[in-house]
Amino acid sequence: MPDAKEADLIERAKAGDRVAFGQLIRQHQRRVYACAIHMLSDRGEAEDAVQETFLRAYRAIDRFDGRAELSTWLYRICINVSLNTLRRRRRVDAADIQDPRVPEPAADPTQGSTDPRHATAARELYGRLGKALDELSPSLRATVIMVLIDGVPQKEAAEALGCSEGTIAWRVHESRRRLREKLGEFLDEASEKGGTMRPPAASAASAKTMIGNAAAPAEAAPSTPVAGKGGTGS
Amino acid sequence: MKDELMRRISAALDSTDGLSGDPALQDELRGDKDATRYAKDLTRLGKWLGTWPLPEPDDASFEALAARIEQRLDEPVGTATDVTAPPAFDDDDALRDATASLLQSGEFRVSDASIEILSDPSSPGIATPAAAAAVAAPPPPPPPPSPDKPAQLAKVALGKARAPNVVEQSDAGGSGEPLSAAELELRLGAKPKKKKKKKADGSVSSDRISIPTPKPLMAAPALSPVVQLPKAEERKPAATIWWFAAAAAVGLGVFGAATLFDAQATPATEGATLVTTGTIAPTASAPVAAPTVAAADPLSPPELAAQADGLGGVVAPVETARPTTVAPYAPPSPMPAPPATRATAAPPPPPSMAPSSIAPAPRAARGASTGTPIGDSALADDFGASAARHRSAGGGSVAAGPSIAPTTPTAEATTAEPTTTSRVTRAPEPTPSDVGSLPETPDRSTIQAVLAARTEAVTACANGAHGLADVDIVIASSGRITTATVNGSFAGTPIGSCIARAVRAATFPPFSQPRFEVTYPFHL
Repeated sequence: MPDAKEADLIERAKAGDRVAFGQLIRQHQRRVYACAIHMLSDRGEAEDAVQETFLRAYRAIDRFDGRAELSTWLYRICINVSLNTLRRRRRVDAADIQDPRVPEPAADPTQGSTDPRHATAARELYGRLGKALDELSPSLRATVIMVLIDGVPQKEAAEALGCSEGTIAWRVHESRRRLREKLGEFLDEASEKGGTMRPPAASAASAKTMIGNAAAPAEAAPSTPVAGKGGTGS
Repeated sequence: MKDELMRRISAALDSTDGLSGDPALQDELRGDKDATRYAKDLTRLGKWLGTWPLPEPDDASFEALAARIEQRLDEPVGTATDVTAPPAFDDDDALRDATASLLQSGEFRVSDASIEILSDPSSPGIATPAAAAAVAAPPPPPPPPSPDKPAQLAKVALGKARAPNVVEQSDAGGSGEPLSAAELELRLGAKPKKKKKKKADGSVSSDRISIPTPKPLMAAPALSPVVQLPKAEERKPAATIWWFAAAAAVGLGVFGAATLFDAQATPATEGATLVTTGTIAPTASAPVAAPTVAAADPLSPPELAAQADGLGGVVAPVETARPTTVAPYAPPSPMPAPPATRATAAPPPPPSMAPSSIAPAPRAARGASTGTPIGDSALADDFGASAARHRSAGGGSVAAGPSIAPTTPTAEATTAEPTTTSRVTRAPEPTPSDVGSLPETPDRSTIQAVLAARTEAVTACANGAHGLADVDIVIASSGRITTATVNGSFAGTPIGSCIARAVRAATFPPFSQPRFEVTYPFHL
């Protein structure tokens, strides 16, 4: 359920208030962009997808009944728009294209540690992670983006993706297994280093760049789960 | 490491208490080095994913983006797809979602995308009670087929069971088996597809069929499933009058019988199609014949008989259409039933139908103007007929063909709803008790009928363009199409996407195999 303020904006948007819808755009566009960039791994296409997502949402806002979060509904639209883009897209050789999801800490000191070793490791880590994510099928990728990256509860993800929670749980499990396989060597290296390979975004300064409002999980012992991430939501 | 343990670890990571909330799992991890490492890796992976420092555009860029969206709010947007609907993924993993419930019971051993029934090899093709119960069980993350073999078909080893109507092209005539109409057709122009699979008893079948690329319309008569209506001018006027009288009688719910048209007026070479209309309302004391769908076949009667003998099916070659009697009509509802019209596809049998009572609903040939030279809705079969045929053939071994024998009248025969829609409706979801009675795969004529019903939607996508769209279709056991991939001249184009969406809207009757794959050509 949207909160009262957001519900009011939605009602006004349904009545044709473009200003209210503009506020909704500003509230949610980062999250939608994050979803699109992970689905499409192309900045231009992601921005187009964001635009189309909100345009479609504006046209269909009357059908939003408020039972789910607006962000969940926008997720669904964004994933549909991204899937359409993927279907239209012709194969391109992306070998020489910079992955827009890979952080460039050297260019932005606030983006985590300024230690060059960490910067290089982070680039390599997220470069591989992005590649492994791209190799997942769209259904698994969408699930990973929602549940593991953005921390959407599995129940909400199931609503957005139109499947059961059991299916989401299986997709999460399968995605983890495959990502681990893809990153196998890299995970081994990280393991040998005693887990010192930390993502650079753990700093508070970069928290705003996290996808959506998901908070950075606390540094956890190996046996501790990622708190608050990918919970069942039930 | 066992997949079960991996799933438990994953589930524990998703729970609020994490691994520490499952003491039994923790104990297990202590004694298993690999599992401990797996858990640590997943934890680390989750941390990385959850803290992904995504480089975003700056605030000014986002503001500009929002402003652009606001400026475009009045722009028209495409309405081809409803993006507020749940996404329809085209990948195999989405398929595994659909088939996962069949694979979680432990009754199946999954390895390299092959599935073997372990518990009851004496009952090939029939789900065991445990397997049936598993279907109804709520799905925890189930063990899917191995994902490392992308796009492989799940192969079900069913002992002596034989996939109905599914014969590899290369097998036709080569194995000493009688040549079926489907085999003959496949030999006419199909491209070679997959390797054949040898079964334990030496029989060969495939879980994939390929409907051959059709020849131009001139060659259409060579394709056995195509059933042609006699041209109107070739019918006797009296026959036409009878036809309308029958339709009106049925529409008004009046009891009566009518001869639809005089078969003698139709040359045998025209491939007459029997059109039955209305609702058949049998009674226990006076069973009536189920509607007969008969069509002349290019094959001679001896050939058809050979097919029937060789395949154990019930095939009745009919060279000329016989007068058919419409049995007394009992209106099923206060609303008068409309007469069947051209280009209709039969609905699936209603859930309450007795197995032997399903009668094919009326169907007439569609004109060639629809743009699909084969696979028209005129194919003399439908879900009901195919289901009945599966049953009458003891699991289904009748080659696909247009001629279907009249169903043996039984006292259990019941009402067949008339239909005027060209859209094939969704089959009722199978209950666990139904699983054992499901056909192993959808039969050829059903596939053609269902896909032919999508021709209009597919043609609409072309928007005037011409070409061949070969669509690779993967059907889940529920009958839902999970993947539709367009090859040919429209591959990778917006038209191709539109075609894929149009095809995906089709629904087949449920079947027992986890999945089924078919290639279907649409000529635009």
